[in-house]
Amino acid sequence: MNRSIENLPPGAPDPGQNPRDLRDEDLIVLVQNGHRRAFDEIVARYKGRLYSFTLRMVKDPHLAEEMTQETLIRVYMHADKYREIAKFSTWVFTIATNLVRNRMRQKSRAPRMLSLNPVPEEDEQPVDPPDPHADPSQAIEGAELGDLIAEATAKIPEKYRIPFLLREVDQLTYEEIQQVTGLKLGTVRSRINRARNRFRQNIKPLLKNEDLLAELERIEAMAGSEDEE
Amino acid sequence: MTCSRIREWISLEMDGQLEPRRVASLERHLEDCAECRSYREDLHLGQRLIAATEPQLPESFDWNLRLGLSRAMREAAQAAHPWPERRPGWQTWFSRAGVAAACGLAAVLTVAVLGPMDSLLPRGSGPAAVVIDDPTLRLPRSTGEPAVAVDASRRPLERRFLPVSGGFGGSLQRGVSNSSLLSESSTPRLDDAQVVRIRQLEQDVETLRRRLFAKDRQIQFLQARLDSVSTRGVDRH
Repeated sequence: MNRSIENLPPGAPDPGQNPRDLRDEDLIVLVQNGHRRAFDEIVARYKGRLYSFTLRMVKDPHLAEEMTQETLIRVYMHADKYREIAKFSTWVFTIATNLVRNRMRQKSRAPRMLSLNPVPEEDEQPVDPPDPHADPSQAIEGAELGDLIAEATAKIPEKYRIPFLLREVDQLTYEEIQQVTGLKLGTVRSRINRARNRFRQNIKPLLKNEDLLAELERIEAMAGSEDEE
Repeated sequence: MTCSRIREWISLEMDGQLEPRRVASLERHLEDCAECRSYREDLHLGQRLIAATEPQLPESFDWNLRLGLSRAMREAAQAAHPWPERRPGWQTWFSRAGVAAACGLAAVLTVAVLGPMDSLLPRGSGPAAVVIDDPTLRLPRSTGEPAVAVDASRRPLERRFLPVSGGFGGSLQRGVSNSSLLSESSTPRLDDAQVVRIRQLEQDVETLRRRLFAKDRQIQFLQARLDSVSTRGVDRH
């Protein structure tokens, strides 16, 4: 079958319809048939979520932007391969997760400097090791709330962080996370639980800081007023 | 019931995954256990903190994505239909050297005869900068429109490549305001007729892009068929 913009398959969504009113799965069918505007809508819907996910995984804003771009390019270039047996969001986040994992793997394979005091593996590190001389309020003072949360998230081991972010940031269901990561459902549950526990320990000093909590309330109030507009 | 088990349940409850028969046990435990209550409050606060610190993509993202997409499509087309390889012989090298020398001489003569480039560029006039550097956006020469328009009011080093509207939420207005930020003086100097013309051109570009996309898909489809036919031919032999 020759696919072109003039020749839509039977049952395909109406390309004249406002893209905002279409489901993701309808938009990708239009993309498969050459409707670039449908892809614009997909980009608008996913770029923020993908960036949020990748940035919290890799910590580097430029790299996160690059990976978000790469994910969306792959969605476009391989649009033909999508079949509606899985949700579109699951497919998109599978691509993003694979990119993130590959990047992490490359990073871990990169030659390291030998240290006489080797740092323990990520999972072996004590959870929130107490430092008797450290005053958490000093570290918090002057720092942006976003940076503190990014730091707290980055301290969660990668294998727990992926399902945690897919749940907390991208609002995927457990079943969708299972499809994206290839883990068993029980493992998804326990990893999210462990990640939450780690995250709580990492943000514990923040929870006592009244300025930051006031900042949180201010941000929420602003977001609420924007939603009303 | 241990607090460790209850904390697993708290996590499940937050995601609506806790079995209904366990909800009552959970609530009973929470009534008696201050630590688990505090744990639940902290997790909810953590969720609020994550939601409130959503990172923002840079403004340039859409434009970079378009460039990346164009590059990926070019590479895919090149991979599907590679140019025939040409080995440069001594004649090719000789002719390249000749062309390079001629270009250099022409540049030197131009500067010598006409004076510095600044004198060629009247300042304070001409349209705001709109430079098209994306091959997918280039218009056919037959339309009589230049593929690249340059802000003549700027010195050569001040020129910037700026996005043109269309696709991924880009807009003409944004391109113009960016250019005005870069220029030394002034607000954009596009009159209504120019804006109308640019919008028409944008529509032309969109139409051409769609056609190009459709053709590209056809090429991919035909290439796939060709590959399958030739594979079958090989199998038979």
